[in-house]
Formats: sequence, C-alpha cells, structure tokens
Amino acid sequence: MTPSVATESKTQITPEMRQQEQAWAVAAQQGDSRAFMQIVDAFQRPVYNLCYRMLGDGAEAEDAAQDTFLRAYSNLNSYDPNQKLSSWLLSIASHYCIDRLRKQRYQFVSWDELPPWRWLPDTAPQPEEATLKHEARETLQGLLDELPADYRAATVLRYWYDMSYDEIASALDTSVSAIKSRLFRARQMLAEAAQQAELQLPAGD
Amino acid sequence: MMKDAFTEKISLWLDNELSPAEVIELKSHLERCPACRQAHQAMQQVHTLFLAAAATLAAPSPGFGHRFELRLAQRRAVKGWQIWLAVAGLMLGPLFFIGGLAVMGGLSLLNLSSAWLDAGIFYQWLTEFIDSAASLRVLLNLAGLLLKAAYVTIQEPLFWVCVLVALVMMALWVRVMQTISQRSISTAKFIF
Repeated sequence: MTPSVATESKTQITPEMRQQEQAWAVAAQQGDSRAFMQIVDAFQRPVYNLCYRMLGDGAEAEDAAQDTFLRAYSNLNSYDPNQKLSSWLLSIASHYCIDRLRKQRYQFVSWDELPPWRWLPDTAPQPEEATLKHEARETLQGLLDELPADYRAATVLRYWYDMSYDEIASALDTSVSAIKSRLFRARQMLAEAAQQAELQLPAGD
Repeated sequence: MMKDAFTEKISLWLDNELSPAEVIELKSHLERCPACRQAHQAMQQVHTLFLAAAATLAAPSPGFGHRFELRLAQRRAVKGWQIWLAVAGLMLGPLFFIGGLAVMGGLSLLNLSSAWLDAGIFYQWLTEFIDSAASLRVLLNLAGLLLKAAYVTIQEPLFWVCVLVALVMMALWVRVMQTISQRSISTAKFIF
C-alpha cells in the first residue's frame, strides 16, 4: 500500500505571481542561482503532485520531482520567457514520468486480486473523516494507476492543472485531436474499472 | 470498448468543449439512446470524483528545497572531473600539433642550414656580415633562407592536416573554456 502523502489546497495564481515567476526564470537564465531556488520553492508542490499522480508512490514522486528540477536547471537556456513557467516545468515532469513508467516493469493488478476487505461493504461504525479522505485518495490513485502513461498524463494535467486541450497538447508534444482521444478513452477506462470494482462513486452533477 | 461519435462527444461535453448547438444535439440523443445514457452517467461520476480530488495537491515532505540543493551539488561534483578530463585532452591536442608544426619547420630549416654550413658558406656569410652588417644583400640572403624553409614545409600535405586539426582543437578549447568559466561563476554563486 502506498504511504499516504500530505495534501494541500490548490492556490489560485494571480497575474502578479505569474510576472514574478517569469522574472525569476529570466534571472535564473542569467546565472542567478537564488532565483532558481525561488522557482523550486514556488513549484515544488505542483511538480511533486504531478509526479505522485503519475507514479503512485511518494518516494518515487520525490525522486522524479528532484530530477525534473535538475533537468530544468540544466536546460534553462531552452526556456522561452513567453511561455508559462508552470507549463514548461510540468511538461518536463510529464515526459520524465512517462519515460519512467515505460521503463518500469509493473504489474497490472486486477480488482479481483486486491484484498477483498477493500471492496466489501463496511458494516463497522463509520470511520473518521480523515480515514474517509485517505480511502478516497487510495481509490482515486488506484483508478489512475489503471491508465496507460499517456492517458494518465493527459488526465492529470486536465483535472489538477486546468490546462486547456491546446496546453496539454503542447506539454505532451502531441496534437489536440490526440488529447481529445486520450481523455475520452481514459474516462471510459476509468468508468469501466470503477464499475468492475463496484465502487461507490459520487453522483454526477 | 464502445466508441462512436456521440460517446466521444460526452467527454468533450464534460470539458465544456461543445458548442451550444452540439450540446442540444447530444442531449437529444441521450434521451433516445440508453447505452449512451449509461456511458454518460458512468463518465460523469468519474468526472465528479476527479474534480473533487483535484482541489488538493499532494505535497512533498518538508525540506524538499534543501534536498534539491544537495542533489545539485552532487551532480556538479560528478560532472566536474569529466569536464577537467576533456579540458586536459583538448589542451594537449593543440599543443601537440603546434609542437609538431614547430618541429617540422625546424627540421626543414636545419636541413638547409646544415648544407649551407658544410659548404663553408657560413664563414663567408659571417665575414661579410661583420664587414657590412647593414648590407641589404646579407639581409636578403637570410630572408631567402627562411622562405626556402617555409616553401619546403608547406609542400608537405601533413603540414596542412596539422594546421586544420590544430585550428579545430583550439576553437573547441576556447568554447569549452568559455562554458567552464560561465559554470564556475554559477557554481561559486550557488555554493557561496
């Protein structure tokens, strides 16, 4: 079982914050190491979150996030200041995680092979809210782990980072039509997986 | 896995990517098609689950920035010796070829000068030089000697190969030294 990781609420990025981030990026390109550390502090959560959603493990996500920033540092000269810094970093993280997943030998675990206690109706007294939230995260990550790397990346970028189809296509170096197809197939796979496991999903709006 | 034009549009609808007219068309279809309606319900439930979950970001454990600084410093230490090895090779390369040019040119000069000494011309030259040091003829003879040595050297094909390789090596060396000096400044700023 994956150890639970801390979570934090998403913060809205204001135009002023975005300008500050661009300024750090330009300064870092000119050799200002403190500016790059500001970037690491500002983006460690979004980058780590993407790595965690992609890889499903806290330790691997830490490793992947660290390597993402190393790659960004080594390739600062390739960053275009007209591009969003967050998009650039998330693109590096996405490609890194996709490559890592493809190299890994991982087993698909069907819902039938999971311990039955995970899916049987709980007749015990209601658990605390924190435990409920933890189980919900585990369910969500279990669903995400079912997806192929490309579909998973598109799903994570769409839901957690509110990226448009154009932005996702740019981040993953593919076309908008490919992204549309990936998101559609990902949703179908997730729905089928949830149905097979007889998960209690929230009612749709 | 079922896929048709309408089920794909359900996914686009969830992302607000359909025009109003397309939404009306899709809703009308869902009223008539139980399979698509079921697909819509299933995808909508997953969509709602993910929207709720996406309100929070997984966060690294405290000290992420500090761990990154250590990792970066380690990466630089590993790459440092590789860079110095490459620099040493690039420095020795041009030195070797420039030295080779000097040796080849010097040998050509010695070949001519040794013939000149054997003929006893050297002593005649010395006498004339002492008698008339400012003599233009003596200076021209000396210049002629140097030109002859150069002429012999440049006729060797290997000479031009050495020149070309030396120029390439020196250009690479300059480029590497520029990169190292820039990175050294960055590293010094980063560490100190």
